[in-house]
Formats: sequence, C-alpha cells, structure tokens
Amino acid sequence: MRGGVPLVGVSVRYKEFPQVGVTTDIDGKFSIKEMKEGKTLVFSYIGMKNVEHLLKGATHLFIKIKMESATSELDQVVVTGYTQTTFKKMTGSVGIISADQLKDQTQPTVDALMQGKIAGVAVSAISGQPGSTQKIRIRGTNTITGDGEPLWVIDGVPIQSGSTDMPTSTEIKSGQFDDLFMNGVAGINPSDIESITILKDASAAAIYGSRAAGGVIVVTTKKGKSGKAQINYSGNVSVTLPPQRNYSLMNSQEKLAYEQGLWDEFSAPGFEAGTNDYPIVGVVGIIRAGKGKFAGWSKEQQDAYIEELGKTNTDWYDELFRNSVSTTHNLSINGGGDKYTYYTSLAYTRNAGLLKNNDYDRYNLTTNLSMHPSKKVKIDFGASMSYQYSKSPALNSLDPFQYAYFANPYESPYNEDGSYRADETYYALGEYNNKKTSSKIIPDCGFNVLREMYETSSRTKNIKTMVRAGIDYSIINHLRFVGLASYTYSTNRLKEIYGKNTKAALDNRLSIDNNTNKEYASILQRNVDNESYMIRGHFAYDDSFGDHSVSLIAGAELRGSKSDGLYSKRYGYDEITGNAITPLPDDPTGVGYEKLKAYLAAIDGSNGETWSEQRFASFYASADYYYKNKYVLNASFRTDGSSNFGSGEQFNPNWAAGAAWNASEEDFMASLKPVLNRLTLRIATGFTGNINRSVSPQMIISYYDDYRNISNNIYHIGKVVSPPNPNLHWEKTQDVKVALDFGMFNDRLTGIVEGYYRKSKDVVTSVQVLSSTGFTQQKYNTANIDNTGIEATLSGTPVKTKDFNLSLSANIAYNKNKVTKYKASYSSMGYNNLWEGYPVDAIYSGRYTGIDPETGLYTYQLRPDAEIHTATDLNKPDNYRYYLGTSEAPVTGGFNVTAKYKGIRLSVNGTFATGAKNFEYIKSPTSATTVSGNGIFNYTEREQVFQNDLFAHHLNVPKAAADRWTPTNTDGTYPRVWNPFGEAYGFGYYNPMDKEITYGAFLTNLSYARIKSIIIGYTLPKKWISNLALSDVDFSLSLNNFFTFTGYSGMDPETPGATYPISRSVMFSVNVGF
Amino acid sequence: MKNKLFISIYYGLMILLTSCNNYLDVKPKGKIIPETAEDFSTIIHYWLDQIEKGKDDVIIPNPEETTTLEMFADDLNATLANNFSYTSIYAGSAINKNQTPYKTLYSVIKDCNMIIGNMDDTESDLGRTLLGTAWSIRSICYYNLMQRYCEPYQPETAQETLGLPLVDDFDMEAKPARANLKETAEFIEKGFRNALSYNVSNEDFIFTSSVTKAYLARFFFWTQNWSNAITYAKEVLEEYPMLEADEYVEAINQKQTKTHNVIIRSFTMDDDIGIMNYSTAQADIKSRPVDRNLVELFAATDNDVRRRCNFDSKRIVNKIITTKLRSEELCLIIAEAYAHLNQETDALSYLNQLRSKRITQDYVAYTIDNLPDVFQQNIKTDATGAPLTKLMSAILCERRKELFVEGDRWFELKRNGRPEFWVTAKGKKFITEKYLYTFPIPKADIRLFPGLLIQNPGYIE
Repeated sequence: MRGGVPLVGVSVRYKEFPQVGVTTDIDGKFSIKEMKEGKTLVFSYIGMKNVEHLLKGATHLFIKIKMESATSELDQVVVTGYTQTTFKKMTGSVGIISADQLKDQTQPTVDALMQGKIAGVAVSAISGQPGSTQKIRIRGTNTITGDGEPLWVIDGVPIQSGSTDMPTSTEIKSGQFDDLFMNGVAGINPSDIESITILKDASAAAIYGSRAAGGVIVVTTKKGKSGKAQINYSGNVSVTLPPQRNYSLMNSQEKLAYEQGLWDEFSAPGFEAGTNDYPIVGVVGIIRAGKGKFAGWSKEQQDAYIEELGKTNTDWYDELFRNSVSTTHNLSINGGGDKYTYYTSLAYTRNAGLLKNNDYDRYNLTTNLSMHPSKKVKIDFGASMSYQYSKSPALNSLDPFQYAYFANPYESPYNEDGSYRADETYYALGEYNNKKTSSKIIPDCGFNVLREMYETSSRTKNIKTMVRAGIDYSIINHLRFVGLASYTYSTNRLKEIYGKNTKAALDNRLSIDNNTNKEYASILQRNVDNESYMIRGHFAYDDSFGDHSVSLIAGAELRGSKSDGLYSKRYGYDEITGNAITPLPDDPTGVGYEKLKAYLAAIDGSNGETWSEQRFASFYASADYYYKNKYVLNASFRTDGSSNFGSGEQFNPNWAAGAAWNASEEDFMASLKPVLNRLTLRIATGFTGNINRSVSPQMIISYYDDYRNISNNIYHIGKVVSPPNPNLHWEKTQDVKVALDFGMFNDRLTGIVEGYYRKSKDVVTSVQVLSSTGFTQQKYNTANIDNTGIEATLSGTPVKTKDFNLSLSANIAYNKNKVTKYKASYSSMGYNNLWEGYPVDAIYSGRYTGIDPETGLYTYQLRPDAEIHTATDLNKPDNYRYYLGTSEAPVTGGFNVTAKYKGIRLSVNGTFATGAKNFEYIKSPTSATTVSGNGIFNYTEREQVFQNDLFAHHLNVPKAAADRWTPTNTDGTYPRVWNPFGEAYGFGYYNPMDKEITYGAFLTNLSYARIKSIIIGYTLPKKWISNLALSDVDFSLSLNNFFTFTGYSGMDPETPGATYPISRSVMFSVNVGF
Repeated sequence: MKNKLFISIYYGLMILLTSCNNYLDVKPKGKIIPETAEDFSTIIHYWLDQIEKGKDDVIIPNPEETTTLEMFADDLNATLANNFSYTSIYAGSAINKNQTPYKTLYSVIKDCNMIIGNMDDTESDLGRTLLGTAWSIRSICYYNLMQRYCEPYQPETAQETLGLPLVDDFDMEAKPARANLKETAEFIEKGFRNALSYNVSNEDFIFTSSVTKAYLARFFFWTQNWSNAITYAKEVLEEYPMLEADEYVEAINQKQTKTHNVIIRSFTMDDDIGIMNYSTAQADIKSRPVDRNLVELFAATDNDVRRRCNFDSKRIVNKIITTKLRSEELCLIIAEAYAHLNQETDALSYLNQLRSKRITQDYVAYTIDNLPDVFQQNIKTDATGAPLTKLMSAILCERRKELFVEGDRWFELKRNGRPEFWVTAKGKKFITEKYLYTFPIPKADIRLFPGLLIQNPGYIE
C-alpha cells in the first residue's frame, strides 16, 4: 500500500524464481504459493520503488508491505482519460501541469492558466473581458475551414461543445446572443484541478479519435485522500488597473485647432462661395457652417463657443473604465476511510470587468467520491454544479473601446445639472453632410455613451450540473471491465433590455419600423437548455510473462448532446410591470392587408425556437507491450461514427503506433548513471481522419424562416446549401515525432527535446468554381498543410539545500506552418489568401517606404521583378506585393523561476511569443462612405489609406495627425489629408491605391515577452500555528502583467487594436488548512 | 456468473452495433435531404417568392432592373440627366455590373437542374407541376442569358456565333465551354417543349403553360423563327385580350395589380426590399428626361392616350415602372413576324388591332397606302439587316410607344442592327459601341480555366 491506500496490480514474485508471480487484487491483497522460509519476495509497481521482503517463520501469515514512491519523473503518472500510465510507458507526446504549478495563479479560468506552461501549446487571449475564452493551438493549425480547437476532457468525460443553433430571424441581429457560457471550460473552478495533461501528438491522442485533431487537454479534478478530514480555505482579492492609455490622442484644444485647419483648407472656400457641396467635419465644421443649433450665429458667438469647448477635456477612458476589484473564495474538505475517500469543495468567484457595469460571478460545488465496496469493485462518483452570472451593458454594435478612442475630447458625458449630455459629433457626420439616409440613427434626446451603458443591460445566467459515475470491475485475474457514464445538464438564460432613450433601443425596433421616428424600449430573452451524455465501457487486460508484459483495452462509447432553446423579443417593454405594449403601425387608419401581413411577419420573426442534436458512436482499442522496462510498443485505434448530416462516410478511422526505448535501463549505460540517470527515446506516428463539419457530400436543402404565402396556401421556401458533391472526403493528418527525454544528476536537470512533422492532407478549402455550376465558391479537399516543429523543455534545480531551493524551468517551441499543396484559382495573392509554399496565416502586402514629400502619399517598394511600361503599371498591386510574415507566432514559450527560502517563496512566470505580425490600424467609424452618393458627393479622388480621408478626421485622431503633410509642410509625418469629393489629383494613376498593398504601412510586429506574474509567498512555520489547530497558513502577493517587453506601440501586443485589453492586476491570496 | 456477464455484455454490444445506424440518424433543424416532390418544391417556391416580392433580379426582374436597362437605351437622354448617383451613364459604365446576372441566372438554372435531375417523383401531380415549372424557368433563364450574353441571333450565322455553356445536369466538376448559338437556341426550345409536356395549370406555380407559350413566342421572335412566333403568340393573345384605351390609362399607374392583359409580372406582394427596389426604380427613371426623338414620335399622333400618360410637360417619365410580359407585346410580335414573312395584310391587321385601342379620336386604320414615312431614329435596319420599310418602321415605332420604359428598348436596339449612339456627361462623350450590346462573361470565369471560355468580342483585360 501507499499512504495507507491498498495498491492494485502490484507484481509479486520470488527473487529466486522470477517465473512464479502474482499480482495484488483490488484490496491490495495477494496470495502466493510455495511460501518458504528463506525466499525473498520482490514487490514491484509502476511509480514505486521495488521492495524486497525476506520470508521468515510461518508462511501462512499475512505480510504487510509498505511501498514508497519512486522519485523519478519517468514514473510520473499520466492520465490519458482512458487509462492511467506513466511517462516510462508512454510513446506519445504529453505535457503535464500539476496542481503545484497552478497554485497562486490569478487567472479565473482554466484555459488562461495554461499560457506559457507547456512547450508547443500556444494560448492567446482573444479579449481581456472576464469569462472570455482563449484561443489554444497545439502544434500549429492543421485545418482551414474546420475547427482547430483542442478537445477538453474533464475526469474522462469529453466536453461536448454545444453547437447551439442560432436564430436566423431578420428581427434578431447576428452576434446579439452572448455565447459567453456556451464554452464548457468556463464553469470549472481552477482550485479543484489536480492536474492538466496535454496530449500533443497523434500517438497520445489517437484514442480520442477525430476530435483529437487539435490535441486533447485532460483535466483531472482533486480526489479525496484517506485519513482524517482536512479542511482547506483559500481566498484572494485582486485589483485590476485600467489599461495604460498610450495612444496619444489629441486633447480638446489640439483637436479644435486641427478641425479649424481642415475647415480653412477644405471647406471655407466652398462655404464662402455659397455652394452646398463643401465638407463639414468636426464640431468646428458644424459651427462654422451654421448647421443645427448654430444656424445664424455670428463669428463672435462661434468663437466664444469654440473657446468654451476647449475648456472641456474629457478622457473617455476614465469615463468608461475603472479599477476593478475581483475576489475568490474556496472551501474544500477531503478525507476518507478504508473503503472510501471524498472531496468536496465550495467556491465563489467575482470578477469585475474593466468596463463599468460589467461583472461576472461564479459559484461552484464539486464532490468526488471513490468507493471500493468489495475487493473486485471500485466505484467513482462525481458531481459538480456551477452557477455563473454575468452582467454587462447591451451595447450591440457600439464598441466602448472604439468609442473611448474616437469620441471627441471636447464632448462631455454630463450636463451641469447632471443629466446626460448628447454627443454632438459621434453620429453627426451623415446628418450634416449630404444626409443621404432618412432613417433615424440616434434617438431624439441624442446619443450618450453612458446612457447606453446604464440604460441597457445584458444578463446571462448559466447553471450547469454534471454527474459522473465510473466502475472498475475485476472479472477474472487479469481482465477488468471499466465503465464510465456521465450526464450534463445546463441551462443558459439571457435577458437583454434596451431602455427607451438609447440608441440600442432604436436599433432594436421592429424591422418594419426602421424608417419611422418611433422610439420604444424592447427586451430580448433567450433560454437554452443543453444536455449531453456519454456512456462508455471497455475491457482491460493486463498480464505479464516473465520480462514481457502487455495491456490491452477494447471498448465502445456512445455520446450525444442536445440543445433546445426559445427566444423572444418584445417591443414597447415596460420595466416596471414586465409587460410589453407593442407599438401600432404609424397610420392606423390606412393599414392595408399587405401592411398587416408584414407586421405579423415581423412579430412572428421576433419569437421562435431553436434546437440541435448530435450523436456519436465510437469503438476503440489499444495495446501496449513492455519488455523489461526498456522497450515499449504501443498501438491504438479508434473509429468514430457521427450524426453528421448528409455524410455517407459515417465512420472514419484513426490509428497511431509508437515505440519508446528507455536507453538508460540498458546495461551498457550503467556506467553513465551518476551523470545521466535516465534517457528515453520515443518515436511515434499516427493517422487522424477528420470529418469537416462545414461540408457535406450530399444535397441538403435548408429552409428559410420565411414562408411563401399565396392566397393562404403556405409553402416552405428553401435553398440548396450543399449541392451533391460525391468527391468530398475526410481531412487526413499524418504525424511523426521523435523525442528525447533525459534526466541528469539524479534528475536535478531534466529535459525533453521533441521534433515533429505533421502532414495534413486533403484539407477542405473554399475553391472558386465556374459560375455555370450555379455557385461561385465550393468547398473541396484541395490543400496540404505541413507543420514542422521543435520543442524543448528544460528544468533544473541548481540549488537544493535544507533551507534554500532554487528551481528554473523554461520551454520554447518553434512551429513552421506551410501550405505544401494548393492550386490557387486566383492569379495573385490576396492578403488573406492561401498560397502554396507559404503559411496558412501568411500576410501579403506592400512594403512601406515612407511618405513621398512630393505628394504626401505613402510609398511602397516596387518588386524587383515589376515590369513598368506605362505610368499606370505603377498602380498595379502585383508590382508591390511581398510576403511579409505570418499572423500566428512561430516561436512561443514560457519560463519560470522559483526560489524558496525557509517559508518564503518567490516565483516569476513569464511567457513570450515572437514572429507574429499583423496590421494594426484603428480605423475611424466615420469615413467618406458615410456621406457619399446621392449625386452631390461623388468620388473624385479615393483615399490610399484611411488617414487620407478628410471625413475620417471628424472624430478624435492621434496627436501625430497635427503634423500632416501639406504643400507647405512637405516633411510631415502623417500622410496627406484630402476631400475625396473635392479636387481630383489623379493619384490613382501612378500610385498603389489598392487596400491590399496600402495596409502594408500598418504592419506591426507583435512579438513580446511578458512577466505574467511575480509571486511572493510566505508559509507560516508549523510551530506557530499548531497551537491554533491549523495545519497550514500561507499568504501570497502577486503582480500580474506588470512588465511587457515589446516593440509594439499599442495597448497590448496580445490583444492588439482598440479592444478589451489584458491589463495589470495585483492580487493578495491567503490559504489556510485546518 | 462470469459467463452470464460475458453473454450479457456480448449481446449488449451486438445490439449496440446493429442499432448504430439508427442511433446516428439525427435530423437537424430546418434542414432536409430532399426526397419527395414537396421537399424539392421548396427551392422553386423560393424563386417564385422572390418574383412576387419584387426581389428577383433575373427571371422576371424587379422594377429596378427594368430601369437599369432603360439607362442603357436611348429613350431617355443621359446628356440632360440632373444627376447620376448610382445609375450608369451608358452601358459601358456597367461592364462590371453586367456580369452579375450571369452568375445569378446560372444559380437559378442549377436549382432547376437539381429538380429535373434528382427528384424521383415524376408521376404525382405535384411532381409533374414542379418539373413543368422547373423546365419553364430554366429555359426562361437561358433565354435571358442568350439575350444578354450572346450576339443577336441571325439564322445564317448562328452556327458560327458564340452561344452559352449549356448545363443540362448538376455536376460540380463539369467544365462546359460555350456552345454555338444555334445549339443554344435548340437547347432552349427543347426545354420549353418539355415544360409544355407537363401542362402546368396550377396558378400558384406562376409558370403555367400560357406563360411558357408566351415566352416561346418571345424566344422564336428573337431567333427569327417567325411562323412559330406567330403560332404561340396568337394562342396566348386569345387568352389574354389587350387593354382598351380607358383600361390602359387606369392600369398604367397601378403598382401591383395584375390586369387581364398581363401574362406574368413581378412584385405582386408587399415586401421591404421589394418596395425599396420599386421606389429606387421610380426615382431613378425620373433622373433623365425623355429623348427628343421619342417626344417627336409621340407628337405625330395627337390622339394617342399614351402621349399623355407616359411623361409630363418637362419630359419627366410618369409611367409607373414595373416588369411584366403582356399581350400587347405578343400582338406586336405577330405583326412584325407577318411583316418579315411578307404577309403585309396580316401584319397591318395586328398592328391596327393595337392602334385602335390606343387612339381615342379620329382613328384611321393603316393600310399599305397610308403608312407614314420611315421615322428617323437610331434604328436604321430591321432584325434581318434589311433597311426599314414603312411597315416595319410603323411596327417598331408602335412597339417603342407601347412598351416605353418597360425594359424593351435596349433589346430592340440590339435586335435591330445594334446602332451606335452617344451621350455626354461630366464633360465627356460616351459612345454605346456595337460590342457593348453584348454583356461580358464574368471575368473570374474567364480567368479560372484559361482557354475554356471565350470572352465576348470587345472586352479585353
């Protein structure tokens, strides 16, 4: 037994006659024949040091053997979800994050915790919003149109991503439904995690089948330990600081002066000449042109008002964002007796967002129970419940980060009397220039961002319950049956309310009211119930014959998921009573039959139901063979059948095979043992067949939500979404890897170096087809993608004394992604096109070479092979296009330094990603397209980059814009600004104007290295606390994201652009064990 | 005990394996793999719905498409336009835009082919109606393609003239090149005849036998098969009598009604997008005054009701723009076809039938002796290339007046010699050259498989 727990499957044999041996049963008991005095029994077990026991005296007596764990990393247990094995017996590539590594970490969700921890696992934030999910790529991207996300497995149960059917009604805007909690990992309490195992290659993950194409993340939750009940409390408080604003935008005076400059140059001549086609830009333009409330003002009145505006200087970042305080509390109890162990935890997390009025709360209850009622049976039972609640403003199309950037600084949020002050410029450009749309875009009382934030709300509640039961039954000596069943039920409720005076309410009116002036509040509700189940069983056979041992498993799995939802949008909502008074059509006397029909259709479209169901059946098997702990052979197979609609090939094959050689166990290596204590070489290959769910070889008709109603005969209307295409088949990935795993100086220095090559064949891409087929694009198996990479992890403990311990570890991964086969149907590279010989995320654009002092335009390097015969050849994009890099970082990694001195510990964690590039341009929401058309504003000179567009300067701009190029300031650092409807310069004839090329000026390198956390912790000495009946008291302080080293100039290189950034936070935690 | 367990597990697995296929058979929301005629009918109902709601751009296009065609033709004068906003100054400014209908028309053809080729039910009433409708719509689409993307039909040279890629059956991999124009015409005719064999009478499916016959008349007229054009036009004309003068005046301002002379029309039901297309059409048509030449043509007949209700004193159009096929056109087809067959009496008889319904006072029937002189206009030769006779000129002028702003003039110019004419705008001269009458095949298709599709003459990269 180990730690008082009986061990199953310990090999017991005579040292003298190794051929005679037995294994222990479920209670750890054994009986062996020919017990004779003087013989020695050898007890061996994976992960334990061998124990030798000399038999003395009476042989019929019980002997009790206590085994100790072996310290070697090779014996670390690897949980694959189907079986439990050790590093020594693995042929696949795995990475393990233990509970220790997760300690003190501040991230509230599991996925964020993994960043920088494991080589080859690239985790990047998509947004800094609380509760949002991360993008995870394991060893590069191997699909183009499919899903590259890894599969999450919690205690053996794969999380079935709820492919929830979204309503497609015209009354519901796309992206309106928050899918915040639809992702399964968000509800897991990180404190309950015992370990995270990442299966990186086909050899390790093949048993999970085709869903494992993106890798598998196996999460094991904490189980109880036998002994007296242990109670543990941990809690923390953290403060998140607002994003450091370093965009360097203009202040009021600067912006007003800038607007005056634009007015003088572009508008004043036309205005003075009395024409009506001069541009009106910025509040200065509106005032000078005498529009709106400024009609008839004298020059003095105008100047006075502008001066007054200059005194207001609103920092919109301060208005919209805050220092947020978040907290977590965790209480757990665990213990057990002879035949059972238990673990229960209660947790509460509150995560306040940076954005005002944005909060996230989570409650968790987790229970794990293990029992072994008889010597043949072991039962595991787990139940967990989580409740998540999120509150935020329902801003729909308005992005607060964009607003904070662009809102003019001379606007202010409140009037003197404290009421909301309308923003006079944000949505006003179209109103004063050409007013081409008659539909209302802002409410009568004007637009105010804070009103939007406080008078709209989006509340999401999610309750998720999961129960799981597993059985391990020994049928006969070497044969066991292992079964696992789970059922998950979750309900997600969303309620969005748009208050009457908000723009959100205006945008959410009945579609047929779009051209009216009516204003009314509305409410959108959506309830979705998801349920999923999984049941699986396999037979496991373990046996050994002398130096040979085998273990085999074979089984089947069924799983399914189902989602049912209702949505309803009600108009004229009254928050006090919860009733809705649907507003009547504008002219009640003249409502004809057609109008009535349109009205009813809009109301019908506001309510509806959604559902979806998926089912899978799988068969799997694996076989392992070991010889003398030196050689390991492993093979696994799986086939998955799915309810994938319209696919004839319901079952697809996946297999993997691998070999490992524990070279250090060889006799000839024995002399090296003191230095090189272990050395393992692993080679594995695998094959994955992936069904791309976005395509189907069979003809599928999809119904519209609308009907054809002809003299009260109602007909369905449909569309062929998938034409018959018998040539579609699986995407296949072949994978080969070699790994060298070593330990030196008794594992004081350990490392793994791995190289891999993954070839994905027949990847489905969109292909242009002849219009005569009736389609312009179709999806086909066309491309091959290679991912080649190398990963290295090195950890060392240079100092290890009684009081002081220093450990270092670092990992780095390099992945090269390349499209090796793709017949492009276009003649030149688009900037997000697939092109043979380049990575999937390649960037093709122009090489920026500075501002031309002659014209004030951006210039780009001509290709050396460009053929220039006429002046217009100078505008051809093909003459400028270069491959400029990739948007997915090829090099990623992380590092950790931990030092412990007595009770004090210091830990520094970092992560880095280099080589990623992307276009960084924060484009103004206003532009010439807002006002063009209608015969007055016709383009005469289109912009090269958005900065050229006079109308893009209506809202706030960076300080740099003040140094714009003008004929008198020819060395300006900001490109020329012009009126696209004014003078024609003919730039387009001899300059590259194509966006694909001109975006090149905005290319930024997103490489960074970041100290994710610096943690200082202190554990109180035992002697201080033993009197208080406490077993453990621990404090820590952590500083997160305080240092980022990057050449990037925006807010955050991980989440570039004007979006929800990742920001600094300080956290204090306490941990008390009773 | 152990054996029992084994046996039960064994049987469990067996049941599991055999029930796997049923287990995996899950039907998603709102999606079907079509089997029955009703399943297939949904894709036809989609297009019928588009036509009714004025959202279809290509089969029986919405009013906006009609306005677009009028912008290319010469009845409205671009030189005098008050603005151009989104409209094309002349056909040459719409070279990119004119490639789009090609894709959309083939997308409709694909849907028809899916029904024709994949539907097993060919016996039930619904199945037969659906097949008839699909054949009819498919041929109408090919006819529309031929009118736009092929040169005008000349029986003598049709075999050497470029036709269309003819897709008979849906095949994702097919790479059809352009057939010749003669094969194209035969292909279209065969389709119409197939449609007629199903004798569609269900009005819910819009494309009844009468509609098919009316289109057959248009088709034979375009391909200069005069006697067949007469046969089919006559048959439908009997069913759909022409409007009398007073009915005509009333009907001209009706937005959505289908009067007794209308065989098929678009936009019969209210719809957001339909109304938008409709209003744009009405607004755009008013941006250009009527050309002097047409004003002079109307001036010659003072008692013609069409003179007053087509445009106002400022030469701004006040006829409501709609898209339809009406029996007056069939009457004109018969008259012209007889004229080409040198049956002048019959030609005059049909020409007079229409005139008598439009001239309210002092109506004098045309005889071969009292026909006015050839009216001077852009069209100088008739469809066969012969110089205009008095009779032919009278028929063409009658057609020009009757079908004013109904999207007909552009194809009349094309059919009758493709005359070149020019307008000025924004200080530049825009010439509608001969090649512009034939729209370009989408550039993307030409580039996709070099050498497979031949672009129409005049369009070079």
